[in-house]
Amino acid sequence: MTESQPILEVSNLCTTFRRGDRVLPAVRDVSFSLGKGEVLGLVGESGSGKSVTLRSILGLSRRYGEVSGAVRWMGQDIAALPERRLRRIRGREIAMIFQEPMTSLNPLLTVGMQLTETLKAHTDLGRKARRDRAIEMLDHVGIPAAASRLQDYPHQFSGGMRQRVMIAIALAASPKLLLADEPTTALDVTIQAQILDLILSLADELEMGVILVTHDLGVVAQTCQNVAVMYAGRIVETGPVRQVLRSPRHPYTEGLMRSVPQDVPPRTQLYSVPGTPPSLDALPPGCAFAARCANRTAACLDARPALAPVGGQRSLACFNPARAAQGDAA
Amino acid sequence: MTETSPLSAAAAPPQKSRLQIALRKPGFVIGMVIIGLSTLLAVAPGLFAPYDPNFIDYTAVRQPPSWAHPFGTDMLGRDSLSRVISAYSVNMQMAVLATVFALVIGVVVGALVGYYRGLADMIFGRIVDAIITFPFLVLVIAVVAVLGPGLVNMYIAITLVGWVYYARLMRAEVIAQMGNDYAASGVVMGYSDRRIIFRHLLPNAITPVVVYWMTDMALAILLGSSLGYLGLGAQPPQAEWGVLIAEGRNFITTAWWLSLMPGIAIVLTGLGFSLIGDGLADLLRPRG
Amino acid sequence: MSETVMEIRDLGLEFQLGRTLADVIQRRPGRVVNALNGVSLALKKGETLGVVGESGCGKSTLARCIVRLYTPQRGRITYHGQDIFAEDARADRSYNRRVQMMFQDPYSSLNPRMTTGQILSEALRVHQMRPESEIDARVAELLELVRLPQDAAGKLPHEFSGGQRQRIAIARALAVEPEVLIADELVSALDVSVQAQVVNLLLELQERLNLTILFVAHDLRLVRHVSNRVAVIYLGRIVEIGDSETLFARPAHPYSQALLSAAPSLDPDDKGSAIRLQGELPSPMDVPPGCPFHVRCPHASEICKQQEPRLTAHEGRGEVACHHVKEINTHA
Repeated sequence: MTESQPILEVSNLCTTFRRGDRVLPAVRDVSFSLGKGEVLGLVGESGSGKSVTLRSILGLSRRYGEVSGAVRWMGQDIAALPERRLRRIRGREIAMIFQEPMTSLNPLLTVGMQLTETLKAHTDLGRKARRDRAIEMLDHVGIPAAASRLQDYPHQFSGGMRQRVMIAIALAASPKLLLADEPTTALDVTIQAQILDLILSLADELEMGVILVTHDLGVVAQTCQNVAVMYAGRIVETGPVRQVLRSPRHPYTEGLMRSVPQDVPPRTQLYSVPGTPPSLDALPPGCAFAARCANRTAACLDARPALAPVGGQRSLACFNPARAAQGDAA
Repeated sequence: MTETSPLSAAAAPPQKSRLQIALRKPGFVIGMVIIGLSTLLAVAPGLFAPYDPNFIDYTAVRQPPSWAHPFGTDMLGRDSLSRVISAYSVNMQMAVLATVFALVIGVVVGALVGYYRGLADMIFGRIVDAIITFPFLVLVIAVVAVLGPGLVNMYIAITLVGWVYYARLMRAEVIAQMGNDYAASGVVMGYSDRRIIFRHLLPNAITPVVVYWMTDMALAILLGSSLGYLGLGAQPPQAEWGVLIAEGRNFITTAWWLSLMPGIAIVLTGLGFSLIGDGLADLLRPRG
Repeated sequence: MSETVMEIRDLGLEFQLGRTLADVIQRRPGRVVNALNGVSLALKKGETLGVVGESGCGKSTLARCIVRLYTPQRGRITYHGQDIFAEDARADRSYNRRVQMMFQDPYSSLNPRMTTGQILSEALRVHQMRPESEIDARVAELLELVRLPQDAAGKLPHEFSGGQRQRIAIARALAVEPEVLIADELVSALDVSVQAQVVNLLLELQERLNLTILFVAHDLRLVRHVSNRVAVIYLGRIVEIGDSETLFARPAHPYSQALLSAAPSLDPDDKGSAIRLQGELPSPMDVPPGCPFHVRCPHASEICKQQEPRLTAHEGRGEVACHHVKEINTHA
């Protein structure tokens, strides 16, 4: 848990897409901050806005929708920066990796070319130095016989190895922040464990902040210090991972945790959250989770609870949260 | 669980019917109007033609457009407008009859070879290769030359060549659809092959074929009038746009309207079919 | 245990890949994917057998062989003693009625142009499950069974969410009153909170209708929760099979051990036993000789490189295919 000056501060981020007549508020009033070397998990189900949040930080959503709010990176608001200036930050200071490495690598260029291209764009290294650095990077992310694999094309790597290549390219310019969008969802568990270990050890080594978007609470538990849970475009609960996962207080977080079959008698009915998430263009005026919530009162249908601190570094957007567990909070 | 696009959010709320959406596209509406009017002209030319198209009047030969004869008259003094209108029935008939058999044969053959693959598919592949190496028109002319000129033979010729284009499209689409698990689940449900092919795969695979059919009807009119022009299709004194253009050819510098007016009719109906095809692509696409 | 419903013996299936231009030039034969390599198991009445493994291990291929979507090249599958690939059995579509499958992708397993009502009534009509006059009532009953609202019958698949579509798929499978259900990654495309709903439904229906289920999935927690017995598959072979609780509590095969320890725990302080496998899953086109796991196995020795271990029963556990199972598990 990093207490120092945050490197990234997102405040009131909103991203809205339009599709025909439909207005889709994908991200609403998202605020959080990230300290140096901190690993933050952003969890939620499909359509919760977690990926869009990540893309909006780097200005990748601007092309498709309207983005408002501030993204302060090292004290500078990059949400308002023109595309040209933003490009210098992307890749050099803030890097991003995606779920499917095959589609984010260029299939027609060798891995070596893609690596050195990144180095050329973001460093002053000479030709030879770039090559050496490229080999070093591949070696660093655990690709055997790195020097000989520079000539290979992406399709010659397996899924896990491709994700390593992606990480090598992302980290080539030693960024200070890594945005990882479901980096292990397409991989098998044994490979997932390797990749997560790699990201963590690199983050530690380079003192790099990481925002990890995932739907897997287990991944969050094993890798993140802090977590923000998103539902229907908003953060509904945030705080240190131990506290949030051990004693979730938002009924949605609680529902998510309890839906996972762990430590329940086998072949019994699982706890399940009734219903499905609301459609983004038909959000209720009150709390978006109210329709599925067991703690719902009349107030939840009329007004939307704001994300407010509840002590112990935790914040919550709920009128009727679960009680704080003993020993939790301050 | 994956967010492929930022817009693929949650389940969609009720949407307007597809017809409503299509009707807001001006292109589709214009296409429908053109083809609707063309069909009307084809079905009842007598209601619209001001004169008998075959009434010969030697006192009014090759008259330029006027109030009495908006499209002028031809070398026999026949009213051009009436002849262009009466040609609608032949030319619209061409659009349908030259394509519909190819469509049906192509859809059935394409669906079958796409579903069963194997030897039949290999033979089909060779036939396609053989046919598409020749230019379409050349092949059709060759067949007409063997069968002899005339409308019926022209339909036979176009069908003999044209079905492979439909079949090829249908085969590719059926193969693509078979990648979807609903096809596999038909097998698992114990459904017959016939049911899986015709009830499940075909309705999902046919959209591009129908869209192509619209374009093909436009091409069929063009092809039919080309053959008419060359004397291999409709035979004079039958009013047919290709025949009309050919008749006007010798007078192109002095009586330009004779060739121009049927030419415009060809362009207009062709445009109508293409516009409908465009709109249908949206209209028939399944959602989800 | 009760009677055996289905028995699979030494099932083997290879997919022939087309020869690429490079293969032709270098005079190599076309490549072969070893999808299944001698899989044997028995499915008992009323049980849930979980099948776990990583992508490409052959678990979905196995599922598809059972419903005759693929024809195996070796081995046999018998259903109540009857070989399902025998000449006379192939034409018998009633097998497909008795053994149903549900697919992973709820967006492609339903015909997008048929309403829920049409999908269900088609199944009822083809197999003549009900006289024509009772079909509508039965459709309503099926919707009720999978907890879908009655107005669902008139809607097209695109009007439903992923979880609801999987319910429709379950209803379609149940329409023909099967004995065995093959669930191939039934819930893996769904969100966690919806997964639980569908799993609950499946468990409840199994109880009520006395169904036998083969539950293929890569989510170990889920498989543990729903299964009575579990088979762990690696490169087209079963490496361990046994009682679910025993296997998950004390996996015997080194691959099972690694697989289980790789699943991230929900408890931030439970870092697991942290057995990290070296290297990648070998390609099924290029299966190593001997024990296929030896290249990644921390316990591999000479014999593992040469001889493929057989699946053998071990006391207090299920069956394990490993040369060193005794040493490994006395250390632990």
